[in-house]
Amino acid sequence: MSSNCPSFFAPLALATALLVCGGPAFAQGEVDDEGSSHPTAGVITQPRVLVTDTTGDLQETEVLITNLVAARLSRFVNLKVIAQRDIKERLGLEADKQLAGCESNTTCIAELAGAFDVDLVAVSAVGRLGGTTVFTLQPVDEHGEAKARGTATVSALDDLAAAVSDVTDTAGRTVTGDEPKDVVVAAVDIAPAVTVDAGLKTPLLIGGGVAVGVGVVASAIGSLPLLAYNSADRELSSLRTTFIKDGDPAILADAADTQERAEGARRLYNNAAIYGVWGGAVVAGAGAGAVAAALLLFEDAP
Amino acid sequence: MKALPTLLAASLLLAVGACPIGEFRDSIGTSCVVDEDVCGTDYVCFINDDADDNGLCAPVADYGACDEPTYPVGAGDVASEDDAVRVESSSDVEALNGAVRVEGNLLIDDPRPVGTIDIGEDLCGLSGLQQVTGSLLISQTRLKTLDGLQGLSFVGAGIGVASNPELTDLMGLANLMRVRVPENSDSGITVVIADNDNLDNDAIAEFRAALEDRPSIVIHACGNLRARQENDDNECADILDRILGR
Repeated sequence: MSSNCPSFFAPLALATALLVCGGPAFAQGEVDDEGSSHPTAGVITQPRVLVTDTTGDLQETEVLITNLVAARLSRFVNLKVIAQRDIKERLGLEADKQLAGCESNTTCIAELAGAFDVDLVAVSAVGRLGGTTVFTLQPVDEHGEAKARGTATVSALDDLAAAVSDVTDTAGRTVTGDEPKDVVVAAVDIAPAVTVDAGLKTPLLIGGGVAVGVGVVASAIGSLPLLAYNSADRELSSLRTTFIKDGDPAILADAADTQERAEGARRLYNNAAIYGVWGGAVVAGAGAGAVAAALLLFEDAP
Repeated sequence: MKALPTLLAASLLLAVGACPIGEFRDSIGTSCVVDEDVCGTDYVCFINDDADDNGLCAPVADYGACDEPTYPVGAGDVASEDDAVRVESSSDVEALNGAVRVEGNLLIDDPRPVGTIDIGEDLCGLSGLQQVTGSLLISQTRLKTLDGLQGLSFVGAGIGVASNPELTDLMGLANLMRVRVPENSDSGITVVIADNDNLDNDAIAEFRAALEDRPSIVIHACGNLRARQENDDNECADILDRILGR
């Protein structure tokens, strides 16, 4: 089984690949190990289209038109476009011979489709009729049946590219029942990432939230001796002021008690509680990071 | 979402602020032993029970004409040579600036038999001083007050304040807690105030009142301005000699 996942996902674990690429890929239809499609109920879900070289008498212009047709058809996400030159590169001169002179013979084209394991062969031609340039395009299936026919006539060569584009787009729409991808950008979003995140978001939120809570509580508990010390320190300053004003020795006894409390709090904090403060802060920070990651990275997930 | 940065900042502050607590809190109420421990700057070791040298550090309320010492006082202990630290000039006072404890006798005195030394009108340079383990003699000076000695709480072998012709006030010594009798004295007197021409009975009475609840401090005044009529000069000189071990 393969999918439309980008190749960089391939080295990842199978589970990850399934998570990341699962849903949308299979929504487009069943694809076997070789990548060819199995049409269902008359609809070819992802047809492989061989774009043959445009024939005609416009010399070098034909190459450009071939490339244009291939490029325009490639814009349909449900079409897998193979150019004739790719076949030549893979199979060599013999394939070129098979392709040559086949453009007007539907039986030949059907055989060609079977031979190269494609669902459609896009056959195009261009020629001049007096002052008019004529372009024709027809995708032919493996049964020799033309799935669409398109023709354009232009009086000036400058208009030919636009006419070829229009005819090719129309043919593509007819074959796929879909719009070219640059027209339907909204349909090609990055939904797989959202699907992945949905599974991780909840554990991250819960775990992060718990960690934040535990960390804050630990830090708060660890801070208690510090608060007690600061309170005692303020009390001592106040007692000093009172003693200077009144000179009552009883104030010194109160101050001694306060000193004892302050020293006890200081020792407790320095020897134990400070670790709770630090540890709690680290745990809370990590938890906050997890919550932030869940909320920021998986923003659109439910 | 808006709470997150706050939470992170709070955690960071908490972590940064979580340093060990130092020992720089106010010294009031800290335990001390009057002849051993030095309290914090501008504190004296206050003892309630005269039979016990243990006390609690108490802040000095007033330094008179002097500024209170600032932390750190600095010089710490000053060990005397040949058993005495001598102060005969302003520079000697400056040299003791910041001292908290003098080991041995502290003699602020003119070495000549007659005359006075000029070390200013007060002893502000000694405001950090808390203990003198030997005798304290303030004699033949032009001091008007003893301001600067408010931090002094312990003297180990008697105090003599004698022959200071311009002295009018003794309250610089009002925070004394314990003064021990000199070794060769059997009178029990620990403080002699003698022959200070301008020191009147009111000043002496005020000083006595300030120290009346400290039984270890036995004051004997003689030969001062209005006391001349009340005391025999020879007796006064004798007592002074005895208390100073002369």
